[in-house]
Amino acid sequence: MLAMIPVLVLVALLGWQLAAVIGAGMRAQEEVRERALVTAGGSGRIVVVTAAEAVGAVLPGLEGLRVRARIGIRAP
Amino acid sequence: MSHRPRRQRGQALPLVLVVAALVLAGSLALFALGRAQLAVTRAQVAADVAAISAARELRARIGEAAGEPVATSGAWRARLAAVAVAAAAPAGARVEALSFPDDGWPPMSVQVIVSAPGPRGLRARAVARAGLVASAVLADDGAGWASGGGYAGPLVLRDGKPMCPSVAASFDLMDAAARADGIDLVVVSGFRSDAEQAVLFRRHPDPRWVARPGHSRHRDATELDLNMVAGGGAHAWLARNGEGFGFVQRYSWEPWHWGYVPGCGSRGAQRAPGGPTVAALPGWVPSPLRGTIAVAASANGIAPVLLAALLRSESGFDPRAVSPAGAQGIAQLMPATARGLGLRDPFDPGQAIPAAARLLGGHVRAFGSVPLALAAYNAGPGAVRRYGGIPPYPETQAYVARILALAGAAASIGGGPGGDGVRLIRVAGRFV
Repeated sequence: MLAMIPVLVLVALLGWQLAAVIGAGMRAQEEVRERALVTAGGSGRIVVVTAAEAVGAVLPGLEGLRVRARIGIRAP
Repeated sequence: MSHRPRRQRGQALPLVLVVAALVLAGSLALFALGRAQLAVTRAQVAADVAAISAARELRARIGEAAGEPVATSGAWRARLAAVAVAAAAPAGARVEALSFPDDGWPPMSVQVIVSAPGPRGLRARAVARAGLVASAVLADDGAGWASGGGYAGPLVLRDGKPMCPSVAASFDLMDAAARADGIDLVVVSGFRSDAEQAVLFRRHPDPRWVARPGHSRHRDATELDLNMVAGGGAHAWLARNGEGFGFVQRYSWEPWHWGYVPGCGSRGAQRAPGGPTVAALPGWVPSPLRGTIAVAASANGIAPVLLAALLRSESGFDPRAVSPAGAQGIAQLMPATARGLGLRDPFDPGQAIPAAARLLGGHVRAFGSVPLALAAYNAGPGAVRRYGGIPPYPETQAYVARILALAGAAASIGGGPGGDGVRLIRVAGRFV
């Protein structure tokens, strides 16, 4: 049974890391939404609004990982 | 002794693999759910952007919409749908439907249903509603009490110059409209007491330019001298638009002198000379009611077009209208309010229109602001005082915005998060 522990820890860390990626994606999406709502409107050129959120690194080697969200809007 | 450890190892390995596979499968399932949720969020963002873009287009053209008949609502829906489609397209989303969810004309809100691509070929759907809002706060701009000849009543300041609240309220609407056209109206002089006029006359004892004490219209608190220096552009704008807000140029040789025809209302000493401006009423006001509206408005210090806009918004000029809440008649007065105004029959326009003008005029004098007075008519003066401005009820904010648009004062519509008079009202069932 002791042999299970490292595997389970690794899988749990992986799940946690995936959850962190999704969470960062949600935050980035919300950031994009707020910025887009301020400027959207009119029939002018398309402007791409982007936002990047840092992902909390759980697994080694993933430090500095960022999730980027973007949306194209028509600016006045 | 050496056999048991081998058996234990042999049993543990499959178990470890099964548990690990289960945890991994759970993680992947959560990840898939997260992706689906992200797709829904993306669709919601696209819906929000489409709705707010359509509402901004509506805001930009609300004055134009107010002047058109209800029959053109299909054309307006198509116009706003085109804007919403263009707004949603860059996000890869498609507008499936656009509607005007509130009753009445012109529309005050827009609802869109948007779909966007999700995982595995599915489409995520989202609903968003955005609309126009009006915002105004109670201001402490009192300047004391006028007495000693001419107008007797409260005074408020605009550009530091005193005038009666009814004049200030209408001037605010006119000032906002002028600013929207790039014109800055500056009040150089307002109410002048007889004593102040005497000082002025002593300095310039020429009756052609300075009236004798007791003879200046400035004592009525209805007169404003606007942009006396280099005011050519402002005076030309006033000549085109002033009457719509109740202001007329008093003397042909004084392009800066503008008087408010409806006067200061019942608390003012007297109504400034000048007949009720029936001609200034828009074409959508029914002929049989035009005279009654003009007389009632002018007797209470409000512009006739404002009273007409209120009646149109309240009942569509239907004297038999009854709301689900029990408001009655053309002015949609609640029975208790009608009794308080001494109204015997709220279904009689001849009684209800003057009563509505009295009520609205009283609110204008109390608050010195048309948007606040309209909010008080809709939600009660207590709510306006409690919130220190227009109450944060979407219904009341849309009510004020609609009447301002109908009254030709769309430029006064403002507020919301960006201050441009537009906000998201409801997003997929949750309020923001």
